[in-house]
Amino acid sequence: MPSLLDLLGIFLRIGASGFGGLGAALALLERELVQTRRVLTAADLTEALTYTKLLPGSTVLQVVAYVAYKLGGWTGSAVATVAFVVPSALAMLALAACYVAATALPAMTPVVNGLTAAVVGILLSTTYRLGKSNIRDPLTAVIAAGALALGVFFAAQAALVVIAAGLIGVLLLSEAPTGREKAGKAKA
Amino acid sequence: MLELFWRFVLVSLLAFGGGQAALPLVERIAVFETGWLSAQDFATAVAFSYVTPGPVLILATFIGYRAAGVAGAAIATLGIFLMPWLLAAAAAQQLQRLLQHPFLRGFGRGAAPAVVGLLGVTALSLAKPVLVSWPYAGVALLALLLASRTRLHPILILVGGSVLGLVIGATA
Repeated sequence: MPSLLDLLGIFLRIGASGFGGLGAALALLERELVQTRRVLTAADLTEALTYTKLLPGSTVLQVVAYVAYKLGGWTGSAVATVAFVVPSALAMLALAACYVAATALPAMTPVVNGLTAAVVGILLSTTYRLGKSNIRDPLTAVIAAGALALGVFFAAQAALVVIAAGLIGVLLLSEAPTGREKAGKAKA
Repeated sequence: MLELFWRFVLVSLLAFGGGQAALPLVERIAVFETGWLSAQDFATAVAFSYVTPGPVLILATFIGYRAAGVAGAAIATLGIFLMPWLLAAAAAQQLQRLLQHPFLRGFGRGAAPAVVGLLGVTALSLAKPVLVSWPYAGVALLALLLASRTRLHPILILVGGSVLGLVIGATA
């Protein structure tokens, strides 16, 4: 088992180089902990991903918290998670400070507009991708359309919309997944 | 400051489906409901969160900084990650059985499509200030095509958008 200092070093490194979201971080964890140090198995990583996907919150951070718990208990998990976040938090802080200084210059406006337009395009593509995997039947389609309408026309509190939709899910979507998915496939 | 903390804790607890799924919640709360930052600032924060390593929700650091300086950044970062960390470590310890409870799965299945709808709201509200001019609408469309049809890294799309913005600004 790695020591706390080892965990600190490993996760600082992974936190500083995990560009590109969950996939990139998983690849780094796999290489460092499964292949090089052999302190975890590939099955441990799959298990971490399976369970943390069910939880609310940043999945990549939770995979780190989960596997680090296996390696060093509560303390190990806390050390690793903080180490994982610190590099990106510092980078973000630096960018935020630069941004505040830079936007004082009027010359930056078109650059920020171009950036915003690109973000809009990326978010629309994310909306489509998330929609494809989460809207499977008429009910989930109605929930998505309802949330869109509530947000656009009624300026509803986003948190309340999500909680209400979750409760509808508890009432109507809690059964075993197999039956529902079969029904969805039969329709499609 | 306290509000900064609890609002991000709330967002993190509703982020079924990971960091990307939490973006619309963060936008609704930080831009629309509290006015901590403008829609443009938020778009930049999203761009920066793709550019930095680690989780997308690190944009909480940006928002906290905009709202209340370095201390705000620390509080917001703690708020967005504290509960997810606790839940994940607890899951590793013991709670696997609870996580497979049908009610939790049902909640996630109901919340996920709502998040998709809210993400649409976020995209629209970010689009409003820039898409009033055709060249920027073209940039957004190009980004949409590249992001959905190619495997081009988001960082390259964002850099491309900024460069095109510079060109548009210089020629207009």
